[in-house]
Amino acid sequence: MPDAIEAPVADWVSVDELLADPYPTYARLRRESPVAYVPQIDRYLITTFRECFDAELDQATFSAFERAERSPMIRAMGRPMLRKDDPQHKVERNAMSPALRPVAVKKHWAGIFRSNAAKHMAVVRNAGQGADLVKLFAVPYAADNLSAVLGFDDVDHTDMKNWSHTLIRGGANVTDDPAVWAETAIVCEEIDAAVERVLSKPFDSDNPSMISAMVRAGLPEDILRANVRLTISGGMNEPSHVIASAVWALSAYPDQRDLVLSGKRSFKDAFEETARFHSPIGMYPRRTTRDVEVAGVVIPEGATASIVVGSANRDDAQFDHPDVFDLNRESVSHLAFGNGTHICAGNWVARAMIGEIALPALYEEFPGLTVEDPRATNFRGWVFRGATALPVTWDGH
Amino acid sequence: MKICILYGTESGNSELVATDLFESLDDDHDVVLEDLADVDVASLEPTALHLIICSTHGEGDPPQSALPFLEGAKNTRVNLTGIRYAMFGLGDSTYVNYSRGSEHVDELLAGSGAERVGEYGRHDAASRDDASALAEEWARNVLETVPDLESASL
Repeated sequence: MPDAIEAPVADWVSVDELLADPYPTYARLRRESPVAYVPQIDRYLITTFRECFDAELDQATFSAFERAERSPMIRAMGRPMLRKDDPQHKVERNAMSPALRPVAVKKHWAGIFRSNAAKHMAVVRNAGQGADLVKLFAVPYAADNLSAVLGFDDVDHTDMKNWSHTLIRGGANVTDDPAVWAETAIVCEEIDAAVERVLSKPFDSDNPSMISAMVRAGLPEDILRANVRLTISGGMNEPSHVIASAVWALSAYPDQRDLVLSGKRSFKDAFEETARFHSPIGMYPRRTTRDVEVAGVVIPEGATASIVVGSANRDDAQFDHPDVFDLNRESVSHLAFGNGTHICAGNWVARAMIGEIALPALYEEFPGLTVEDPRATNFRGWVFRGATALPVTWDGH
Repeated sequence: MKICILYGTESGNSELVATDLFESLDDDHDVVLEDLADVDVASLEPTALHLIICSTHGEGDPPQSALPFLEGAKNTRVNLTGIRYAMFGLGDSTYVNYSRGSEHVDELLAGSGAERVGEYGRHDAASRDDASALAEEWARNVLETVPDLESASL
């Protein structure tokens, strides 16, 4: 690498600013140094679309096999497939995939998702104008759907929410807070007990759930458990964030909502643009297996590289006017689900539960559904980003 | 007329497109639906029209479920003269080698003497098109270009 230079150090990056609103920081990083070392978090941030895209296709260099001591996720839940490379990653992914394929979604899950949507919309209606769509719909709907896909029939959505949020806190516990580890350990025991209840039932070879699929494939129980925890940490927050973000975007951009309600664009289109515009997972880590040149600078071997898809999805080299929510843009392919071999295994489930089911159901049930003052909505986070609450109104009687 | 819908799939999208296509043709035709993973290249029938739906994996590779079919065909060097097929590829133009996955299957079949009929259909995941709707339109056009299939099956 004769011409490559050392990565610039972006010591001006503020983690507080990232948490509050990462997009100005991302814009400056893309402009000044698409690959930069950020000492505060000891990571090399990759922030442009093409570089993020290409890095993820080069598993041999950008390994998912993060060292256990560098990974709070592994400490929180064991090593799930997300922190493994192929071929082992593929074995585990193939094991669960029968439950997550589009045909399974259509045949087994869509009906359950529809009835879950109806159940939680009734709660929103009872709460009346100003109801918090995050708390009363997005979270419990995503939690109940997740239980169904996993194969739990006795887990309340408040438990699922607690499990998911605790595992996420554990996965992000870079400051090594012992209180967080203690909570994580309790939640892992509760999840293991729920898995045990499923496994102790007579085995039904026709059961379409993810746990049954993993049992059929013969995955060892510790691996099965790690992947159940992974699914709980990633399978509730992200869809609930995107549901709220989509309703927010269709409120903040009424011309775009009209495009959908008039049928010129679909709720599926709204889902994809929301996932780009407010990516629920903004960043994930990879470990470099060698010195590698990216965008003219070197990332040294053994570093943690951050693939910042939340920034890549706002890169004007890939998307015209990227900071505008636009259902008419030319290319709709984004990196919100990642790409390559680790592309979100739940992407078909998420697409169906939100774009095909939740959004059309909400706008049909609540004509005129809107967020009163979209500018006042509090979005939070950069690794995981979403609205903390979303009070909504609709056409009254 | 017998129609064999064969799909090569990685995450299941081609499987869904093939299943939707099967349902749209099933009322009017004698149709079978199979994963390429379960198909032996030597079992392709001269009296049938094969509609092949195949995705792309990574940077232009064939999808997982097409691999045994491709391997098997390479090893047996079967003569496919008289076999007719049409191709529909799925891909994402954000990737280099867009839609290349299906071409591996196409090249193998054509190289073994089979005849491709109709337009080469493609769906781009970077577009807003619905893959199943596009595949159904493609299949209708293909069927129109093969008027003799009815008699061939007699």
